[in-house]
Amino acid sequence: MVEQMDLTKSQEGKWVREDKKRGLFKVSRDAFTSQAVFERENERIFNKCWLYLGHSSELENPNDFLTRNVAGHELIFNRDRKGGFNAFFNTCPHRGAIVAREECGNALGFKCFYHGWSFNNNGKYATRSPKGVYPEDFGKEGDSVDLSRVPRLEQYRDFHFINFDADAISLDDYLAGSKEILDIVSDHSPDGMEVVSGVQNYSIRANWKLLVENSFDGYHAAETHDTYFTYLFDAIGGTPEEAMAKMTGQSNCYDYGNGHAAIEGEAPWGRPVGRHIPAWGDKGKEDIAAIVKELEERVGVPMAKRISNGDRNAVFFPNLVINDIMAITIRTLYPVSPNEIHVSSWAFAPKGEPPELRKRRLDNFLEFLGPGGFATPDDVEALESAQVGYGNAQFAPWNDISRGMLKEKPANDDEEQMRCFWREWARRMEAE
Amino acid sequence: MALVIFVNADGTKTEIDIEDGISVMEGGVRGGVDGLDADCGGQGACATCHVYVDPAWVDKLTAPSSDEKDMLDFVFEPDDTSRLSCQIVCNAALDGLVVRVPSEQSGL
Repeated sequence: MVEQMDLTKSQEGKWVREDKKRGLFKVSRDAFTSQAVFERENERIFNKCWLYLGHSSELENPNDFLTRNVAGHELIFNRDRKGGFNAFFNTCPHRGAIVAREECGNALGFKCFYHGWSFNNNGKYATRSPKGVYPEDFGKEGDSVDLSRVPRLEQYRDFHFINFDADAISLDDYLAGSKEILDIVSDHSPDGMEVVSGVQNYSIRANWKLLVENSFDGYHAAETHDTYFTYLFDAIGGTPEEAMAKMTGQSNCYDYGNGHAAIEGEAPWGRPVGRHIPAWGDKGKEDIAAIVKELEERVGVPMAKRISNGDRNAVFFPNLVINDIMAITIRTLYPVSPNEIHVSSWAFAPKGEPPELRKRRLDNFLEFLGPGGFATPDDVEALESAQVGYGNAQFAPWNDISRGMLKEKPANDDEEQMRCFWREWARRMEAE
Repeated sequence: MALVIFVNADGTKTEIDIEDGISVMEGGVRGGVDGLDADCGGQGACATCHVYVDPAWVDKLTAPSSDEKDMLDFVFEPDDTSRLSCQIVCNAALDGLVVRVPSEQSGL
């Protein structure tokens, strides 16, 4: 028996209310504005969960490295001389300065610019000083002066994740059912997949969880993104009604466990991995037919259908988004404060994709997903508007996330996927 | 471009073409020569890329800097032909250079 929801009383340390019987799900707006919640999230979520670091394709060769900020930590992600992957804290053991100052490169070692301390690219201290300056056994007796390693680094299908908690469960167990999404996007091409060079970095004046919700919100698309859909039908020809008539109407929500979830459906835009639109012409039609044929032979017809024709938006708890729609984006989002998000987005694409196909994909990426495209600015406006609206939280304290809760099989424009996120968020945040 | 011949303590020979401007150390490490720890990766900070230069070649190289000479104090069994291979930068004049890689580098 579920207790009836009492939304008149606030409860310290409880932000999420769920009434399964009535099909109601509410989240306190305090969760989006409170400094105490922000600090607790750092401690209980970002310091405990597996966080996305990067993809193998970004470090193709031994000695490749890149630097990246993950959850406020400056890190080096590299491959050493033997090709092994490492994640180090990018700070000199001597006095703290940033050791690797470039965004990426290829280096056998790293040298701090401050006093010149040097390190092998396997992290080992490599600085000789005249005798008598330091003890003979300097750095060898529990006083390590090697680069500090991130406690955990594990990978699944070339996606590398880190965990700041040495005692965390394995990445494999943590990802649970969500590995399906990593499998699907990794299987788009027989030649493997790569992160396209370059990144889109931008900030939003809103709470990070607003962007989590927005990243797999099938409900808002038609309303918020009218500009994009008007442009899209101008570009591809036809009307929304004609487009709808061609679709199979598949609409799914997947609860992958541990707070990971995805929605899957079918949209009117073209998919460079298998859904042709008239704007791509006859040559485009042939290209797409060849891609679908190869997929069917390699992964079987049912999975080929999902890959070629299914649009999916996934959130890996807490903050990795993979949207496999008109292009594929890998997106991370981190709170800088309760009211500000830093977003990084990468395009993900088949290795060796012919230039014409790559152009279609990247045009799609920029048009919809990019921060200067037809859609993301609308989302940013919506999120910032909500954050401003939370200024009224004292008098209007609850967000509603109940859509489709009474359905046996929630659809991709319901909100079950967000409830999956919020249940895990509450489990971690509300525990004693 | 210079063809550099690395001779390991056990007599193994490795010949590597090294681009102009790249050090003998970097060419050797990237080319998979054993025995060049080169821990600092070419900063001249660790003295673990010690080689013995073939006597015929010693005078053809730019003389070691005072910093390199200080570092050579740390290497295992140095002699008059000892150099840090990260400080020998390749160019066409070094084509055919022969260096011997010692049996061990002095650990940090």
